[in-house]
Amino acid sequence: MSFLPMGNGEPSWPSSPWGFSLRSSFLRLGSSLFRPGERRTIVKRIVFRSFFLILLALIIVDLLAYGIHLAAPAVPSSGRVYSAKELAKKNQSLRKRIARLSPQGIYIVIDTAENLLYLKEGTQTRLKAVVSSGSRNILKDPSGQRQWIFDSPRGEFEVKRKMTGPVWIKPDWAFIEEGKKIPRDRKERIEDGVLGDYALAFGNSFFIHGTLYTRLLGKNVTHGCIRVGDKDLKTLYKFSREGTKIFIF
Amino acid sequence: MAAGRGSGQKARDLQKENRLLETMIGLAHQESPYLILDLRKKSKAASLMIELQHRGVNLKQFPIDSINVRRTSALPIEAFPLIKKAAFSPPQRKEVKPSKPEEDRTGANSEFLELKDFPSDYSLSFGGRLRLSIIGKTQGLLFWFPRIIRAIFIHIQNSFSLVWNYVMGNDFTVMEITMDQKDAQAFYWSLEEGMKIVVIER
Repeated sequence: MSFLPMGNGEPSWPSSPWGFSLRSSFLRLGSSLFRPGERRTIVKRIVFRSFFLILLALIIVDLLAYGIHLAAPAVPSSGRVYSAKELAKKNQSLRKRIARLSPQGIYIVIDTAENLLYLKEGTQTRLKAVVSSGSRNILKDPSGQRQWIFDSPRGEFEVKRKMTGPVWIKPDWAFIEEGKKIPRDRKERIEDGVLGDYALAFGNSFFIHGTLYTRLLGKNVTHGCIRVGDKDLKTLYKFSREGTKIFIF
Repeated sequence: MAAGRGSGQKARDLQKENRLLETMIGLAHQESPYLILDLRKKSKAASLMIELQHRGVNLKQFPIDSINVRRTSALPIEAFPLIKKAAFSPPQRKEVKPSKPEEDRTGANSEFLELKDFPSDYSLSFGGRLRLSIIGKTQGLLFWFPRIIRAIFIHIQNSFSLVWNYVMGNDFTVMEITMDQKDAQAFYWSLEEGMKIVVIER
């Protein structure tokens, strides 16, 4: 083992302020490399002391961080100073403006993480239903030119169209997924009775519709649409109208 | 004298409320949802929540078990966008294998990305100004020890970040938030890059 020599040929080590020296440990380790018993003791000592030093450093950093937090300055107030009366009036007006941006009447909230749908009016929940939403899976066209991501869309939407007895016009991905050839005739794409009794279109070919696979309600299994049980779907159809807001997250 | 102090405090509270409402109205005008973390709401009766809102509508509340806030300077009431979600094992999308019968594809045996696949420990960086470290609270004694180790590791990492940002002269706030594991996973699911957060400090 070799150490960086000083002018007099001695290796250079920083002196330790805590009464023990890594230098002496390393020197002793160097001289006892061929004496297994002593080497083990010295390695143990080095490990213990290094651990102690690291722990001490971490505690110092943590205390420093806490000190910085305690000394943190407050945010300086800026802009024109209003009187309490003026502020109270302004705040009331702002609250009214926010309330006006919120949907009036019935609206739908869909939680795709928990697969729950809420039909709400103001802060009141009129219906809570277990649904199925997008699987988040990927399907690749065997040609390698196209791919589909089966996410339910997120954001703010509205009911564009209400339908009874909807039929499914199967898109290309449905045939690729089934390993079938994509038909040229539109009639071959039509599948009846798989979307339940009602459907609410909310744009970009996405629907809230019924399902044959009721045992899968509560799971993320769809291609992006929202599947609802028959009874809940009927209630949704009854209370929503074209323009009803839908929030999906 | 006491009355003067009282009215001064009232004016400051109203000023704060005004700043918050101005920020919220800006967010409510936008097409995407946003987050509100009101640290003033902490009391014995009610726990803190992170609220997911859209157009002023409260979509979901994520209850917080405990929170530890440290900062180099107080956080102003303004919206910070989510620029990074960092997790040890982020969820990966699964690829659909074609040519399976319909029942298998939509059946319980198929592979889908579910809530349990999402991480419960992760960190969120908002505008480089705020970092939220989320720690999912797992049930059972078996998971208690790993959770403590994770929490200590995250705490140390945040201490280093705080000291570093202080030395560099940056305004920086870290929050270590513990919530129920399922809530932490649902919260991760709900987040999208660019989503904004407003934090109201006490």
